[in-house]
Order: sequence, then C-alpha cells, then structure tokens
Amino acid sequence: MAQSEIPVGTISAKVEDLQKRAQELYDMSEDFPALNRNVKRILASIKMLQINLEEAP
Amino acid sequence: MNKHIPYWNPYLETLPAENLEKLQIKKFRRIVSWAYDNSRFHRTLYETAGVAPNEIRTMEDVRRVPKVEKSMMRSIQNKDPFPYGDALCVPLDEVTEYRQTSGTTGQPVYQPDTWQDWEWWAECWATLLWAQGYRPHDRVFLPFGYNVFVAFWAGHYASEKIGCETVPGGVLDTASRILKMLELKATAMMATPTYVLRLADTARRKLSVDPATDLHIDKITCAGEPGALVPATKKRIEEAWAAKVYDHAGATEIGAWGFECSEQPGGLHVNEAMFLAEVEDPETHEPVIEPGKRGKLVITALDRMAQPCIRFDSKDIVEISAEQCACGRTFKMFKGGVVGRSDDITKVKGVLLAPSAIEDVVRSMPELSDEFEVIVTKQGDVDHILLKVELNETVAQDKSADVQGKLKTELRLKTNLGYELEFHEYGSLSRYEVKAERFKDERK
Repeated sequence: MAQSEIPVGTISAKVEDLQKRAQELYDMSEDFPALNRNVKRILASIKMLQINLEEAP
Repeated sequence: MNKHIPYWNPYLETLPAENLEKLQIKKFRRIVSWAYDNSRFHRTLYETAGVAPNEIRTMEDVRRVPKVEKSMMRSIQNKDPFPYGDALCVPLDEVTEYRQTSGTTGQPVYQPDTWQDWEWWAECWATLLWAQGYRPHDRVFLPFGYNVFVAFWAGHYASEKIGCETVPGGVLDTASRILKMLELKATAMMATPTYVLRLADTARRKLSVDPATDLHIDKITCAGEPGALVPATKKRIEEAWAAKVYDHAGATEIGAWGFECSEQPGGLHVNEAMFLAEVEDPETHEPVIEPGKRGKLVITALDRMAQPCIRFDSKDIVEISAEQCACGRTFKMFKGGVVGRSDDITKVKGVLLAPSAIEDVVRSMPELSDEFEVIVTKQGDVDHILLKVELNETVAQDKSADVQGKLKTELRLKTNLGYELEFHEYGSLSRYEVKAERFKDERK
C-alpha cells in the first residue's frame, strides 16, 4: 500500500473510539486495582497508536 | 500480518519531507510547552532565555530554545522530587521505570519513565528491529547484564512487541551465553560491537565453536559504540558470525534515535517521526544543513514525557548524507553513523584525531586481535600517542616487525599522525562486556 493510500483518518477515528472506551473503564476503576492497572497500560498503548498516526498540521 | 512490509510504520517512515518537518515542529512546540508547564527546571531555563513555547513556529524558533547538557542533568538529580530533581514532569506515582546512563563519562544520570514512555522506547526500538529484518519467527538472544544501565532493555521489549521469541541471556558468563545460543538455535542477537567480537573469540578459543558455521545467528544489532559502521569492524564481525551486522544509535537520556536498515546504506537513518535531529558546528554553533559537512548532533525526543529530552547536546559527531537509501524511507541519513564524539575527537599534535579512525586501521589487519588501547600524554611540550595492540596467536612473534611497519604506515595514512607502538601478549589487554574504554587522554 502506498503512503498516500493509508486511511490514516479512518484508523485514527477508530483509535479515538478505543481511547474513549478505555478512559470510561479507567474512570470506573478507582476501587478495582486489576482494572485500573490493566486499563492504564491499555491507555499507554492507545497513546502510542495516536503517536504512530499523528498528522502534520 | 504481512511480514514482507519493510516498514514498522509505513505511514510515518515514508512521510514526505515537508510534512515531516511540519509534524516535527508541531511536536516540538508541544513537548516544550509540556516541559514549561510541568517542570521548574525547564520553566526557569526558558524564562531566562525569553522563550515562549507557544510561539515556536519555525526551525529558527527551535534554535532559540536553550540546549541541555548531561552535566545539567547531573546537577539537578538527588534533589526533590527524589532522586530525579525538578526536570521531572509527572508525579512520582506515574514513574514505572528506573534506568540510568552507563557512567562512561562520569556520574550516571538517572532516567525515569512512565509506562507510556516505556511503550515509546520499545516502539522506537521496534521500528529499528523491523527495519533490520526482525520478524515473529526469530528467536532473539540478549547477552547483556539486565541491570540499572538501560543498555538493551528496550530492545528486549521491542523484540517481544514484534512477536519474536525473546531470550534474556542475563546472568550467564560469556561461554554459557554461547552454549545457550547454540542449544536454542537463536537467530538474532543484540550487543555492543566489542562484546560481539569477544563472544566470537571465546566461542572459537574456549569452546571450539565456530559462530559462522555452528551457530544460527543471521543478524546482529549493535549499539553502545559506533563499531558496526566502522568498515573494518563490521567486516570482522560479519565474517566471524556469517551474519548481517546492523548499527543502531541512541542514549539513555534521548532514546533510540537512529538505525541502519537492511539495505546497509553505510549510515544511520534518523527516526524523524519521533526525534528532531539538528546538526551544528561544534565551535560556532551555527546550523549545519548541507550534506558532507560534519557537525555535532543536538537532538529532541518529541514524545518522551516524564523527563523530557529537549535540544540535548549529544556530543555525537555526525555528517548528513547526500544519498538516498534504497529502502524508501524519507528520514534523513547520517553517513557513517556516529563518526565520533566531540569530547573524543581531540587535537593531537595539532591534528584532529578520532579514535574510530584508529579502530578502523587496527581491525583491518588480520594479524592483530580485536583489542587495542590508545593513550595520549604530554612529553614536555609535545603530544605523544601510545598505541597498545595484541598480535593474534596464529601470528609468529618474528613477524611482529613486519606487522609493526604495516601498522605504522596505515596509521600515518589514515590519521596523519605518528605513534609509539607496543605489542602485547594475546589476551593481556582489557576485555569488555558493554562499552569499551580504549581511548585515554592523559593530557587533561
């Protein structure tokens, strides 16, 4: 796939959905360490996805 | 997953150059703003220099941001928030990783990372390992100490991230590591060039194992020293192991910023999606933009948050390449990789001397072992260079005069300097497991 054919916008939108879902879980995790710590890692991975897809202004 | 795609990130690694620069400036502004808002160290630095982070729009603006040196990082540590000092941009609760520099140049610098930073470290390494042909079918052996020094830690996690079977060869001696690689039929390895050569030497001499024929290593990633792009060293390692040898450059405070791809273009690609690499004249500090001229690398990690690395004076000497690599990456390339250190490249008898030039001569002579040592002293008003080498065991002692003559001539040709040569018994010079300390300037 050529660089210009990569659907960055579509992929980024799906990553944003993931980020919202993960953040919702994180916000519910105050009294649930296993949820809190695992979602924290998921959020870090999602952030890495966002860095990997960041577009120039 | 398509294992034949040559890029870990086909979007960023082939981004057109003009978009890449826009992305870098956007990210640079963001990391400077983050540091300004969250660290007293950076805020004081920028306020004193009159830098307003949100006004950064061009490379000229970038160059107005003050540089940071290792000595500054050393001076702030051991203060609050302990032990990192006030360059820390996150609460201590967010720090999940502690590593430190090797200590080669003095008191080690502490490096805190959050889980997100650690993801980023591994991602930078995954980019380079993928570019060097690492794929999920590989069994990767890491023969290093797994200690506080960052060394190949991120390489370990990147190897896992790619999906390789990752073997930690930590607290084993050199012979045991070779036997484990043999037993497991490991296909790839990461180590300093010095240690890769030592592994091969130990395999042959102590175990009667020939790495080129008895082991299954087909690629080796070298880091920590520039040897993998010193032609004679690269050739020695590739012949000893019958494997492709790739260079990688990085530092604890910075991250994994440069890599040689599987095309072996004779230089390092800068991961410009994650780093902003500037080159400047070491004396005038003016930017070096044109290919073919050497300068000092000033580098920013664009996405590292806990202890940001912004315009870090790396002391690495690099040369922007005019050539395009056949791999298709749009990232700029440094010809020959890190060709020296501004604190290593020193004037001797009025001539600029880089230790890597001596390494290239010594390692190009099959009569000599892998080890050598250079000691520069002052004798009266005159600089004096002593080069200690070892004859290989297979070379008869009565040939040493011939070798000496050849070595003197090559050194004169390549470095334009005269040396006192000392030949030592094979195995008597120091052997190293991580970074070697072969150059000693005792005039200072």
